[in-house]
Amino acid sequence: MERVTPSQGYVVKDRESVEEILKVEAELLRSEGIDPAWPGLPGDHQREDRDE
Amino acid sequence: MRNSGSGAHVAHWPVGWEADESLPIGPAALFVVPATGGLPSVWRAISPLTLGRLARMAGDDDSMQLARGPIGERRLERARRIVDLAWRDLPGQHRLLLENIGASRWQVLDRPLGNSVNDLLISAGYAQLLPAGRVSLDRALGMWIERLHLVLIDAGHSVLADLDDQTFELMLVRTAWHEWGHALSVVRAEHDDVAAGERLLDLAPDGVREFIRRAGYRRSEYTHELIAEIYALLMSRRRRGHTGQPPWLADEIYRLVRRVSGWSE
Repeated sequence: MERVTPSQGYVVKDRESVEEILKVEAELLRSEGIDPAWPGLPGDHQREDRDE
Repeated sequence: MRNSGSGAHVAHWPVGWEADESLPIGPAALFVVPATGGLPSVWRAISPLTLGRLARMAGDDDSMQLARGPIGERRLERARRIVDLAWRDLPGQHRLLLENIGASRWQVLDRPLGNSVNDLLISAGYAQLLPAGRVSLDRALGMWIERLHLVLIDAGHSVLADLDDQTFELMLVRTAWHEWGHALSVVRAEHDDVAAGERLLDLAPDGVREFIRRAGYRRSEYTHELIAEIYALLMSRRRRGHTGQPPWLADEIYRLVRRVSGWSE
């Protein structure tokens, strides 16, 4: 039987890594004058309801 | 053809964790319960956050994967919806490309990915994963299984457990975009691109480079992880109305991502 060796996947080790990912993204966006606030996804009525 | 947007593509792990030979023995093993049994009252009384802290106190990376509780049907449904919207937010030509390479199917799970991937491979006629491989995959938030043409996302991963709604959404969207970028890279990047992984990583923005290095990927995965991460960042930027080459991205990486992903904006 063939054995598959998958990739390691998207490894996010701990909560600090989550914070680091979001911090890096925010800093890159800010560096070119983009507001890093998450605008949400189009068509997400559930989020819109929650935000109201 | 895309298989999404219906309950058919979403799996749910209903009760507890399945104990098997790959699980480590340690303090957090106290929280392992049989998959067929109900949750003990002590489990129900402890929040995922507390369980995570207990696992960290145990000082065992593997045991952290046990320190998670079911996220509940509502949060899982929310996760399914978010990933579906993330797919729809991709440029149309990218969706077409992903459909053509067999990366347009996904499952959003509340289950560690190691056993999920193992079960899927066995059901497709492949040999089971080695225990160490399963434990390693449990650390992943998402992955694309090329052989099965399937993206898996673990919405119940311990690092997502106590995030507020917006951060939970952001991380899921990011994970989905990352995995689609990863799939495009695996299929479309050339041998020379993969071989240049170490050098390309040196050209990456500092934070991106450090995250990829710290995550412990094999060198042969550097290029795919870099493309996946930059693809997610470009999508995030596009969501905010900005396209074109960002000033923080090296020309060579931008050209590579454009070639591999078909990015033309």
